[in-house]
Amino acid sequence: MEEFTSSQFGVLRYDSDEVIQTPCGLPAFESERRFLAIEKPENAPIVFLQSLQTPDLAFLTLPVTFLVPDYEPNFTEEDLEALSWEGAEAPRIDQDVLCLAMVTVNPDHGATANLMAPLVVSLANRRAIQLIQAEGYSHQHPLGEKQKEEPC
Amino acid sequence: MLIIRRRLGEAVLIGDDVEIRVVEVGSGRVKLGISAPEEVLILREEIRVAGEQNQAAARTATPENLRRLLAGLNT
Repeated sequence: MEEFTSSQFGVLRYDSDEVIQTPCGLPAFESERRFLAIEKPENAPIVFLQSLQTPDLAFLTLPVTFLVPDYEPNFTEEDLEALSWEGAEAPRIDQDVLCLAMVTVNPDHGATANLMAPLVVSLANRRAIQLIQAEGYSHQHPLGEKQKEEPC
Repeated sequence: MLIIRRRLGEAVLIGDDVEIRVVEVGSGRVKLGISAPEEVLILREEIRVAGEQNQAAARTATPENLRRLLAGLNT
């Protein structure tokens, strides 16, 4: 068991195989390499992503399928390599990978989720990358309207 | 924005140190080769957008926003 003291959750105890590794960091947080996903029943479906390097760095995230049930991620060769993906076909959400969209609360836009660049975590090895998709999904998908059809 | 047409193999020079060359042309896509000094940051546009969004998201993870978000999702 390892321990880490976070700003929001106090002392966290976890097994090393729970650690999510981001070998390439995240855009704007390139040196962050280790995270823990924290799920509490009273906060479902929100998943917290807590940095195991910076105590006050955490993200609120939502599973992409909660927002867009038929979400289709597009992986490039480089993405699959970064995940050490060995399958013949593309990874499937919830079976092979976890796909989490980071939530932002902004005075102008309200709460939005970044569906353009979800965090993709391999369930096999806990490696993760932020998958950046140039088109198809919005980086500021509005929340609270999940019943609406995704435009275009 | 300056708009310039280039054919396969042709290049654009920016300042004294930056060169962008069209290396491959495919349907709806172009492959660009870029030479620049190490200290010049070269980024796909969407990576910068993702970085800015991440920074905004990092500021968002407060107990107050968690409560707001949960309330909004459960209505």
